[in-house]
Amino acid sequence: MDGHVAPPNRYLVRLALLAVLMLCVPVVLAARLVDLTIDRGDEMLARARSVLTAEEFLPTRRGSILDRDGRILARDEPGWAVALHYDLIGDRWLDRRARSLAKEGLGADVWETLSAGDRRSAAAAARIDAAAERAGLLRAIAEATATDLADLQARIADRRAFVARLRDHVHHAQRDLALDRHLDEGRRLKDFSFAAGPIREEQRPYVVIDDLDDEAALLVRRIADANPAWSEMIRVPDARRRTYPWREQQVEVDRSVFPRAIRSDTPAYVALEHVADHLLGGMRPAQQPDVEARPFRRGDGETDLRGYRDGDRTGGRGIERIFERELRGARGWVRRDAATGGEIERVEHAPGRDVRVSLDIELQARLEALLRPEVGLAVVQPWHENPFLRTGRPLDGAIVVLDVETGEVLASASRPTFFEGIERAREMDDAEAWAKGPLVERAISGFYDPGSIVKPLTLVAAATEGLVAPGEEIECTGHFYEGAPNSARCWIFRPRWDFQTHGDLGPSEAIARSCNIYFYELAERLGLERIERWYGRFGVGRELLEGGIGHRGATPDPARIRASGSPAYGTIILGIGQGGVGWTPLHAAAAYATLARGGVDVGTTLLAGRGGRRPEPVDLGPPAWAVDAALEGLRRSVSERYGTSHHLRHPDGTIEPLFTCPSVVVWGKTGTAQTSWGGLVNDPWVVPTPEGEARPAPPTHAWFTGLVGPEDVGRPKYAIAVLLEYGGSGGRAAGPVANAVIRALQHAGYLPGADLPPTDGGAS
Amino acid sequence: MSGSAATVGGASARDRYAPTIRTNMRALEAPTLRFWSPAWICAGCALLLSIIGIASIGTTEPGYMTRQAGFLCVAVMGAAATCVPSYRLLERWHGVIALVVLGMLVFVLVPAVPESIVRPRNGARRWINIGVTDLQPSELAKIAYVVSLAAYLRTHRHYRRFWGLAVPFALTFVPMGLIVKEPDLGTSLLFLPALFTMLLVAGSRLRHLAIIVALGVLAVVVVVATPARTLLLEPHQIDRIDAFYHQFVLQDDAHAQGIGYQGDKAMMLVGAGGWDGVGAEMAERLVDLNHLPEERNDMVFAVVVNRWGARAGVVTWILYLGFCLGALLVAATTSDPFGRLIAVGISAIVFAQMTVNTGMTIGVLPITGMNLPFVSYGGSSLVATWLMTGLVINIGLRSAQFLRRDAADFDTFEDPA
Repeated sequence: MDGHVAPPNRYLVRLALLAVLMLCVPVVLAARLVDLTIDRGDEMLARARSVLTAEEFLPTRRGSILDRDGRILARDEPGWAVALHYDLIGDRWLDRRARSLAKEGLGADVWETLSAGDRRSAAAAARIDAAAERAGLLRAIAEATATDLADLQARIADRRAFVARLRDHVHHAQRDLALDRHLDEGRRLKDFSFAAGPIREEQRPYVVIDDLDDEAALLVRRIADANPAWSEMIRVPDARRRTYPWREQQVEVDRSVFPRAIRSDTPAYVALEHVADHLLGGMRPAQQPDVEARPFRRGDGETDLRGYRDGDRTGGRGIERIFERELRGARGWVRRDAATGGEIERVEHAPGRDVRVSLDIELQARLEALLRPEVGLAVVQPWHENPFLRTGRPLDGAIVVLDVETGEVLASASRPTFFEGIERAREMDDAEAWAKGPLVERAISGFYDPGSIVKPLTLVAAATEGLVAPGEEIECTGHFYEGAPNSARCWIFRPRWDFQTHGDLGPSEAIARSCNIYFYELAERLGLERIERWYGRFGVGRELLEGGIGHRGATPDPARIRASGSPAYGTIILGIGQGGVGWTPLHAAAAYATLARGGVDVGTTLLAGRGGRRPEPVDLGPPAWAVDAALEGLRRSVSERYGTSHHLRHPDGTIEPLFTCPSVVVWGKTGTAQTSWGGLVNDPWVVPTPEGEARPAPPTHAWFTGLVGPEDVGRPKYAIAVLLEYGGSGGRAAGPVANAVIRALQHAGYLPGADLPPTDGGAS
Repeated sequence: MSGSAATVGGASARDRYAPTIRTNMRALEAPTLRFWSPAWICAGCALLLSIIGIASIGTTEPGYMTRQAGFLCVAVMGAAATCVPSYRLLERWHGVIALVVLGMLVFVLVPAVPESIVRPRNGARRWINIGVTDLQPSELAKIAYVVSLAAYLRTHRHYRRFWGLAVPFALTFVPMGLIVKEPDLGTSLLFLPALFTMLLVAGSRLRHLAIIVALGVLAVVVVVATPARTLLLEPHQIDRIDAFYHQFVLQDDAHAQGIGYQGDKAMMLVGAGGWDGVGAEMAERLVDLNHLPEERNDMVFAVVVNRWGARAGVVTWILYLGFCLGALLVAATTSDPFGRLIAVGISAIVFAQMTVNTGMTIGVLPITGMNLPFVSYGGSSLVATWLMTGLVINIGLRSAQFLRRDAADFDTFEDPA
């Protein structure tokens, strides 16, 4: 020993062991650090940097909808919305506010000293006050925006429910994913646990009130600014509102061409509140399916400025929906420095394109006015001799006017209107609503048997197929099957008219007289397949308008008719538009327009000038004689005393001409289409059936389909279809409406003669 | 030794010789200062870490940088002052020191103490207001504990037997219990690594320590992973463990917005630093706008890596290793068992604290409230760690003494008779 004791080896070994342990720890930590910084560094940096800038989206302007004359039917106007943050909609704000109220109440000094548990209890006690504060806030917002408080609360509950559903869905998916991963890694099911976190939808504001003007928006902003606890929760985003300047109109109805009982030299004035609402449609907030179809944030993380976020406005129905893509436009976008608010990058919004539709909004209003019951045409009247509805019962129906040359829809009026339909639907159960279809837009979606208005089309079909010769006459014997006078009869073969018959008839006269036997014969010659094909050629079963709106109609199903008890009968009645075929008033007008063009189909459109696209005409190839004969038949139907569209017979036996507008030529055909009683359930206006008696023959819809042109031109310019549901006789009920439609076309400048009085309107 | 003097000459002889013997012993115990000591490695590393800390704090809030620099001056002066009297004085006074510190630990818990003196924060009673600043007794308790345990182990040999470990453990649980009560679970847990490393170098049997560690791990598993946890842990502790499990084991972000928010933000900012770091200006914005909680205190390591990159993280760890291994070298080159045990204990505490703090920042350990020694903002903690540094320097500067008893030394590694 030389003074210093050498440290013993075993002690040093233990120190060394300690040193090695210490060296190992940073190695483990460093491995993790490399994973975070090198392997996942870019991802982490991107996440960290995402807060440096704040993105803000600039609203776009939706395109306007113009009518054929350039009148603005729908436009975006500056407006504001109220959006509440989900924290306020859910309960997070309430919790936070309760905590800060508790803190205020106790004083920050005392609060500081409390343990977490004590703070929770204090906050729970303050929750009542926080809830009262929130209720007061909602009341103030409702007041400032003139919104019904219950409505506002319902909307908030709606949002809450929506997010809750979404959260369940997302958590479910996340849990499944985590479970898959857990099991893939070979771990046991009982070791699995899943903690669900908040989803993105819980971290943003939701629009609860929109369509606010500047003043209301200012009031809401003041409410938000009044309390710092609220200001983060309430946003007043720039949310343009959609206005429809022509929705309300005052229309003058010329009653000088009406049937004598309701005729007047002074016009009627009708106030309309929802002109073209069915067709123009409206906006609704985008929902999950819209967002999924075109998301604003795509799966790859990119932003689609034309895409949808939940709550965006989107066209809900009608033209707003059909032309959504054109009208929508693209958002603009600003990226700002989160700290300074300075602008870093900006993309201006792209306004939506304007859409010019083929409608004439003024004509549309005139026609809608004709369907109002107070005007007197769309009501059961004594001269209708309606056997199943009592006089005075308002009639639903539709009027369609097409431009023959272009196929453009000039007007398409339906009753009930969309808003009337909503009102009615409220009072119906599901079964009744299904039978009556209160929300169905009759003009383009109402589905009806065509009845006799198809007779000219049957002629053209048979002629084109070479099954009837020019000038060939067919004898009307009153009933089609020999020895069976009670089946397949002509309408004239009735005890009321001493079982008359039409005798030998050529094609034009057959149309003018609307002989059933003639067209039974043609239908038999055509056979099921050809009839089906020809209905298809005239547009039945086809989408007629852009965006697929409206009913396609249904061509007869040969297999079903063959399978029925009497296929031969099923075939012949198709020749007069009954049994197994259905279409809409728009189909009827379109088919007549095709006929007027000599059998050339150019389709129909809602766009003025077809939006620049040229239609591809399809020539159905009918022989000229057949088209001429059909038109001649339609003209004689109106002009000859024996024609079914010639006059109106009153209950007192007097008659008056149906078509009285000067300076025009009318080609037309009435139709009385049998239907079921389904649409009349619970209807107090139905004429009661005497006890013990069977119900009378099925009720009928009243059709009139026709063409009209200026007298000096001499060929059809516009195709018109009028339908009155359960109107009874086509000639008596729908005919006078068609006459008024022609008068409206004159007043709207489409036909000459507006300034001239009706022709022998007073004749009897 | 004094006992043997008494037997030589009786009471009168003792009276006569005692002053001489005392003088001679003092001469023997007088410092033989040596300036080349591994303790300077510790001092250098501590200084560099403190500078990194100041710069990082400046990244988050320049105002705090100046204050931390001020704290550093005080801390360094404190450390220098600690170096002057020989650490062996502590051997004589450790009982008093321990009592004073225990008194302070009890004091903060006494409900009757007015809040002007012990001001609870977030429900925790950890600080004593001493006018100029708040004093955190648990920081001093770490030092007092190491010194007391060293003094105990230096004079006893029971810990070579399994049940003999009961006393050191009991000594440990007293301050731990008081600190857990504050509550400050994180700080209290630091006593355990200090205890184990000091027992290890003092000569406890490895298999005894291994058994205790095994039992401890079992206990932790029972507490954390079985239904018993609902009885034994606070709800927020269970949440934190769950958050950690999701974050580290499942690697999902299920808790990223809730209880795991702090850990998630810290990990993100660490990862965002990459290898080279994002630089001062960007780091300032990222830390600020991402709302990293406790960015100057518990989460300061995330700021370090974010600003200077993973390389700065590695350098930081190297500096801690430098400090801790330096302290172990001091222990290795000192033959005085008391000094050895203190150096090892301090090394263990700093190392454990560093591991827990950086480990939770990078997401390999659950979040617990613990700051990063030397680097985190705060006067009490900085002064306390520098006092520990001063103690290590003190030990390092004083060379081994002739005639010292070899407790906890070579021969004691043999089984006690």
